[in-house]
Amino acid sequence: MARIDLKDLTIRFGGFTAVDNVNLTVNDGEFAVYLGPSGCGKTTTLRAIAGLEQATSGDILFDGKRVNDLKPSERNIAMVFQFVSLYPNLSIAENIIFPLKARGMAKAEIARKLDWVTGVFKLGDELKRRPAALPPGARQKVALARAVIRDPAVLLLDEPLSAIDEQFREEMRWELGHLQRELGVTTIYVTHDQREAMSLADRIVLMNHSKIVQVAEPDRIFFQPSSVFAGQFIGSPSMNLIDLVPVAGGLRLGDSPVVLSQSELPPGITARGAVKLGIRPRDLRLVSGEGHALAVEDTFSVGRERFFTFTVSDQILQGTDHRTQPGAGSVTLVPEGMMFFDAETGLRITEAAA
Amino acid sequence: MSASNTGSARITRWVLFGLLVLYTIYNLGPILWLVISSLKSRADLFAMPPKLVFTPDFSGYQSVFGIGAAKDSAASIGVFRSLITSVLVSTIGTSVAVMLGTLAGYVCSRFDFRGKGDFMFFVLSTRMLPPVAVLVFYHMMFAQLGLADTRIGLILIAVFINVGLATWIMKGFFDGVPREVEQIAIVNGYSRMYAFRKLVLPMVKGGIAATAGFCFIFSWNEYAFASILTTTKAQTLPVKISTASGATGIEWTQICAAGVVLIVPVLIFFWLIRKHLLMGMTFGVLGRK
Repeated sequence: MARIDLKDLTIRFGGFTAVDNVNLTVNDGEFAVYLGPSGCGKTTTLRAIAGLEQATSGDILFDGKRVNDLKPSERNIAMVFQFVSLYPNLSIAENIIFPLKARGMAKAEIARKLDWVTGVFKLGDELKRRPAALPPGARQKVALARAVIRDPAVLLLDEPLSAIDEQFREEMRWELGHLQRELGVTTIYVTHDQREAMSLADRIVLMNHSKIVQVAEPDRIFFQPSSVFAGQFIGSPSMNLIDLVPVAGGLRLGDSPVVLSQSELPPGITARGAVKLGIRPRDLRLVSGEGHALAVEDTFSVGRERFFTFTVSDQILQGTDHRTQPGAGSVTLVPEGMMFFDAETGLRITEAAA
Repeated sequence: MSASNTGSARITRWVLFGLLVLYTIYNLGPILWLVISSLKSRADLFAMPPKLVFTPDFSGYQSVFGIGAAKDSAASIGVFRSLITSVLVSTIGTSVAVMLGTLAGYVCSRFDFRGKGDFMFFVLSTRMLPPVAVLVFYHMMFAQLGLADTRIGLILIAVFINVGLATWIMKGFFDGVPREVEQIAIVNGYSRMYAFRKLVLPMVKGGIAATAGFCFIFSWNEYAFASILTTTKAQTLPVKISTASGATGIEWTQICAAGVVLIVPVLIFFWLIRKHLLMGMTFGVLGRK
């Protein structure tokens, strides 16, 4: 178990800055998920923690001890990669105990550990088989077993579930979360799938363009995104974004006739420069009768959920119809769901700051 | 499907079948004739019309392998010696080329180094080079170094013509092995060398076999270099066959027997590596599932 600190971590490859001045603390036993689009630097950060990439500047600390110059094998970490990296010429059992043999552990101890880990992962029947005989999902299970068998201080997972069939992925995700809590091992998990991040993480570390955008608990990052990027990257369907136009008495939603009056806006916001409104589909309601004069253009449903779309400033926006009965109606905005962003910086305007 | 359709389909099939038969005869005919001729006595060989039924005469093979009645004839000693030369040059040359190619291919697959692209192109260009263009210079160089007409010299040539191809093919196979294979090992305290030898190499066994097969066949068939760089002592079998003539004129039976002997190892090698051939021909790019 270990606490991990990244201090001003920067990693450059030639002229390209893959990780730009990242500061972060991952607490002992925490499940931290690095989330972001591909190429945002999340995997590079993970590999630097493992020691597979060198920090250009800045420090990596394990329990307060600088590990920059330690070899990967001296950091007591375990890794699982996206593409299963089992050794085809070794049996499942030999694959799992591979890390233990490196340290010359006694046979009886190895057998005991293997017993424990096969119990945890329910791999008892597969031990003698070769990796090729197992479906991909089960192979990734073996890779996980191989990672945890050595009691690593840190478990580093690089998109471990993204190459697995959807059906099996759900199951593995659940098991993984359960296992991490049971073992209490500090875990850093890299993914581009926000649903995976939301369901697994104690804290999400959202990255974009080599920088950390926001670090927060899943609920907080969903309800209190710090920027347009955070708001739109997390949540499905994605957050709607509308330009606000200053008019007498308030701000107008783009080219629509709807004006948010001073009383509906956070104090002081009209005095700022360009502002955008962010609102999630779930915070747009379709109500029968009066409301804001936004005309619904189309409706569709996915299973039980019904959605509607409408247009503001040539942008198609989406809302969730919460009513029990479908039918005509007009769009209203739930005041609590309205989030305001600085159009230039993309940062959220909180009431305190405004 | 209508009756006329089935009918025309059947005709098409028969026509195709007939063409294939003709093509097979065209290809195998000369080889069959070679095998038959290698078993004929001198008299049967020149009989007109050609004899299809005859008493097999193994004197050609006996002289190639230096056994039996022809054992001590000068011609026999020469052919047998060239067979040994061919075997030595091809096997040693292949082994060295595959070993070097495997190591170089691994480095090119896993590491970035200055001028890697140029290096890879240079390595491949050695195979594009028409041998005739540089033969004169090799001849002079070999003469200076005392390598002319030696087996060592030919082994060096066999390595030279094969190491580039071996590097390319092996790089392809290594590219098909995920880097994570070594990274997991390194994270767990194994050395890269251990990971390479114990984990990566077993995963490219098939690739090594295919590469060895190609290299063996190329050096076994190599003629241009061997014909110029050798005179008597270190002639390979292909060169010997082309220059063979005995006291009594051209020893056709012996030449045919030597030709058969020349073909057999190629067949055996292709049969052994047939599973890996396609992968080798695509430079391993199909390696990753």
